[in-house]
Amino acid sequence: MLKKYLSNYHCHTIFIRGLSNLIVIQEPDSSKDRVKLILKHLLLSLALLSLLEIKAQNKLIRIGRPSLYAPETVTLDGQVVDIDGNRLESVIILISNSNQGISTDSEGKFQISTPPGAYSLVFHRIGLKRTIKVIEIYKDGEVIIEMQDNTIELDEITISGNQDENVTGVTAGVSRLSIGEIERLPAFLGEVDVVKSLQLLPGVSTVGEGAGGFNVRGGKTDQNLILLNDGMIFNSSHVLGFFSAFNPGVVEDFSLYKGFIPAQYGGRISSVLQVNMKEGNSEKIKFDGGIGIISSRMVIDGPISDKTTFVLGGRASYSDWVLQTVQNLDVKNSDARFSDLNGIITHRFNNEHKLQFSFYRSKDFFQFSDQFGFDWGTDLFSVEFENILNPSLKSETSVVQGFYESSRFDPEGIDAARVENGINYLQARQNFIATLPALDNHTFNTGFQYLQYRIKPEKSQPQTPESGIIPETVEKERGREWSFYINDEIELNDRISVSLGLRYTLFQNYGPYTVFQYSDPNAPSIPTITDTLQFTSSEVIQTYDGFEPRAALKFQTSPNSSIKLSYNRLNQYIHTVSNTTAQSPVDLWQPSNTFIPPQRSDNFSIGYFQNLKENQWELSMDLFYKTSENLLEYKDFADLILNNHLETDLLSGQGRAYGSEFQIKRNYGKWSGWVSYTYSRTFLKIDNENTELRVNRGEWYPTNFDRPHNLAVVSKLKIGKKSTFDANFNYTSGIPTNVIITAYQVDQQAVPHFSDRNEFRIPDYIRLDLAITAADNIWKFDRKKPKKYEESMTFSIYNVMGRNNAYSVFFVRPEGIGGLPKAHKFTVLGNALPALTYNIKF
Amino acid sequence: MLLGMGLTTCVSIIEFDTADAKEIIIFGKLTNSRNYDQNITVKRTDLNTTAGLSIENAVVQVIDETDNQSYAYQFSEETDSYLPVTPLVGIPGHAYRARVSLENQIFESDPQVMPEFNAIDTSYFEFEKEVAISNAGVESEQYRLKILTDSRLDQVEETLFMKWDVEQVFIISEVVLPASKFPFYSPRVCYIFEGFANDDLVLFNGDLVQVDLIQRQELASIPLDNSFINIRGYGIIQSSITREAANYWQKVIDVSNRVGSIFKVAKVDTTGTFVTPSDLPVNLGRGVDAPNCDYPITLFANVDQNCFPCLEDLGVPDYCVNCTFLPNSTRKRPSYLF
Repeated sequence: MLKKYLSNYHCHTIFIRGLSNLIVIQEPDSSKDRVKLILKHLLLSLALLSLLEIKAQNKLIRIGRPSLYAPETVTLDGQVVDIDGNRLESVIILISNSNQGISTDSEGKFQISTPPGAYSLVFHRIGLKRTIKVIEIYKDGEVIIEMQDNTIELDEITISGNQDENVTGVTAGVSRLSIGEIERLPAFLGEVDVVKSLQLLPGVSTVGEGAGGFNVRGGKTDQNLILLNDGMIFNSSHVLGFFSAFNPGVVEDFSLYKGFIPAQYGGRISSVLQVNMKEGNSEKIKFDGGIGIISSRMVIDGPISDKTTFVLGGRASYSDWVLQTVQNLDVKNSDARFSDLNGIITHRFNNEHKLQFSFYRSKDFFQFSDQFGFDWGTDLFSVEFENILNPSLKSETSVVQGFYESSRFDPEGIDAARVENGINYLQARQNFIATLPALDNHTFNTGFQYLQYRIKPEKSQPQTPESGIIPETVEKERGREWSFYINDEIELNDRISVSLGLRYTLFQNYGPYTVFQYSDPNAPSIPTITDTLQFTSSEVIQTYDGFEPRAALKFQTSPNSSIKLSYNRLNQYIHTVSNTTAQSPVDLWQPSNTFIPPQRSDNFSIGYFQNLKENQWELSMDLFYKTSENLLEYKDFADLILNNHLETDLLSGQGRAYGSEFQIKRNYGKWSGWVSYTYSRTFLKIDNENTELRVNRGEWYPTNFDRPHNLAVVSKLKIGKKSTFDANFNYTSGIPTNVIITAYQVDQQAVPHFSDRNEFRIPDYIRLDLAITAADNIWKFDRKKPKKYEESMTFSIYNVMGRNNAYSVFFVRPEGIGGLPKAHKFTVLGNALPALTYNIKF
Repeated sequence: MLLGMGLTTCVSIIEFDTADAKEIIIFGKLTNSRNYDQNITVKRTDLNTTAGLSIENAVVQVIDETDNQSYAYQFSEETDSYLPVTPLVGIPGHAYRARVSLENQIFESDPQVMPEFNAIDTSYFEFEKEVAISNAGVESEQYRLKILTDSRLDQVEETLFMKWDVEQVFIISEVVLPASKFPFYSPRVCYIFEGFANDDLVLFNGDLVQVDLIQRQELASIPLDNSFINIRGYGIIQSSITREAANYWQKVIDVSNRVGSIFKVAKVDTTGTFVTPSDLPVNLGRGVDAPNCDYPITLFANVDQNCFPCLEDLGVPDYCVNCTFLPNSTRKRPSYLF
């Protein structure tokens, strides 16, 4: 067959062993080319013959989202390099489910034009290991494939969805990371973490070690819309905040929109974190697992039938044995555990229709000795249907039901009690992506969304028979939000692209609920309550609406550089009510109501982007400015729990944030990673005619999460063929705090007198983490025997310098009467913390 | 996280560059007890001492709104506070307010009604063994004296708020010197007071807890040491307090909390019930004018009357022959002792 094949090189079509791969090879122009072509044919044939033997070693690569517009033909530009970054010529690339086979040019580059869909790419060259990648491509994109010598196993392939999108894309201020990029970052206790990785990006920070949530460009943690596929997540943390809620094994990639936010997103005024779960592979059942010192994870995926695939992933912690080794009695008697479960079933009716059902469940339990505890959990169910109606119109329909429940409990004593709260929501979304024949440089994204929030009643119940706590229930409000949006991405010419969007939102707060009336509604307080108004079920209490214009402009200054401007207006109708410095699992979610108007922000940004050396290097600089209205603050000693007139403890004010972000990133090569630096400030102003409703005399003051300087260095160095050495360095300014400026004595009690709110700052935060990863041949029993699985082991050290970073500051009065309280710095992780994680895939 | 906390948490003192804020502090307490001085303290804060700087030129008065009577106060150097010129004992059910004029500013509290006393207590103490494990893993035993109370609450229409104050006092006897050489000397005793830290404040909030009987309410936990060789007495004063006073003391507990965490509410200034009736740009007065209804209880933890620390190798220290040299000491016997 091979002989026959070689004798008919002008134009060939062949079928091999039932494979549907159709290969088309172009006629050569010269004898030199002809020899070259024969060689290619030989390689091609060998690759095809061995195709059936190749063990799947790949992960699904997705370029573009199925939810984005898929044109009739998409182009994949790629480059094949060796482990040292040298370009590889004459690599044969076969494309399954397509009629193409090509080879790389002298620069190692290749280009494939194909209809959108899923394909297997087989890379082959003499002396190098075959590589197979399954790729889903829905828009133009780029990949970089790294191949290794035949003498060793295949290395991790570095993939980038669209290598120069940071320059050519119109959307500014978007950070994308694939799970492959974060897998080998040094991690706390060896746990790969999506949210912790985010915090190494410019413009993203957190209030402390292990604090839940993250702050983007001076925004509060509740101002980030966190989406797992299409479902909102209200708490992205496990163990208060030391781990994120996302199992890395089921995450495909994630994008953080912190600058321009397209009109299809809304509901939060700071950022959007879009976490995409992967789909199951259609070839065979695969297993991916990891064992760490406090938790383990596993993911199984594969086909159910020809058209149906599944993914099932889970994690569980087993920290009790670790706690038992701790000498501190309080810690020994404590408990912290979590688990989560993800499942995705995808059915492809054909290339045009796809139905996906997914669910997510997480549970957390935390108890500190006999003093207090939290438990919380999330349940998420979603159904998504994609329908390509015609080559110019795609429909996406989804329905999501989400539940978040949390409780705080005091386990012992006369006040032993459990206080529960939570939020449920139902979301329906219809999205259309369209192009018009007459406007082929336009891409429209339009649709509508309906959201219904039901805040669970806050319930307090005695925890023990001895408890004297009075059972109490505080009813909470409900809200519904309609959104209509349209976004048009226009390529005006080769250099200029714009994205124009408009979102209209209408929000209603509705009953059943009792609304207090005050003699002065602008300054509600308990003594000024005059009456109550009862609202029946579904009766509208208050309505808000607003237009949200969005605009972005990209001006390409050269093929490798661009300037981008963007503007967003965003409204937020649901807020967390919490006066703790860090996000807590029991923070109340509160819809806008008569006294709590929606938060609103206007965001401006301008950035310069430059890529160098074939997109190997990325440079960027972003400036941003944001103003906000109706931000919530709290009166001193506000009592937010079981409070049915929260407005009496709340304050409202303005926000202001500005800053600049710099990043230099090396995408591939022996060394890769990035250095980012952010300077940003964020302030609040709580002013009112009534002096009692002012904070810091109505002057601007820094927010709890104002951290002016943030430097992150992320570095990955390849050692030998398979192993890597990773280092992370992080420096951030300390968070603002209140400190004791003097003290006085009353009735033999020393009473501290505190400064203005956030007048001082805790010490700066500095941390260095290291990790070394050995992949394959960890257990060298028989090197000659081919392995049927992949494995790796990561040894990491968190906080190598053992630096006592301040987690918070508190004050302790010395023994005896009359001593002045002294400020004490509390450090959570004061030593270097090693961890070992073993991962296996087969 | 707990692993991290257990293995690697640490606490160290840090300094903040704070300016010395000279705030005016006004604190007063009015009770129905004839053993209480009913004093009002007016001071200015000082960075170097919580005792503060005395202000002697304030005009202080307490107004009984029920009887429409005004009681003038005057400064007493002995108590470093203002005392009523004529005897004043609070009457439950009467509304009182305090007014302090100082440096052209007037600080005035909202009227507060002295609550009725409505609880009966039984107090007792227990010794408890506690096993402590050091950071090096060494176990050690520590005994503690725990003072507890059971309170039976009367059925009252108003929500009940209570506060317990525990005062501990040592009794130190001066040494006996040879009468032949010191014919005019006769040993006497001193009472040395020792307070408790802020987080030992014990409050009962009837808004949150509704019971008829409060059992085994722990009021204090004191590690046993050599000082227990001396007589140690405990005065427990149970006060029925106003809601405003309860709120104030709860704030004091909150701001004095020893555990620092970003899951705790940030500490802020504690302002009591004094307000400035005129909108003057001045420092707000701090403190609370709290009419209390008190019920004293006395406990004794030891009956040994020896003066333990006085016999030192290098002779007889001066406080052994005049125990008032010891800090917080007085020869005035507390009313609840003996």
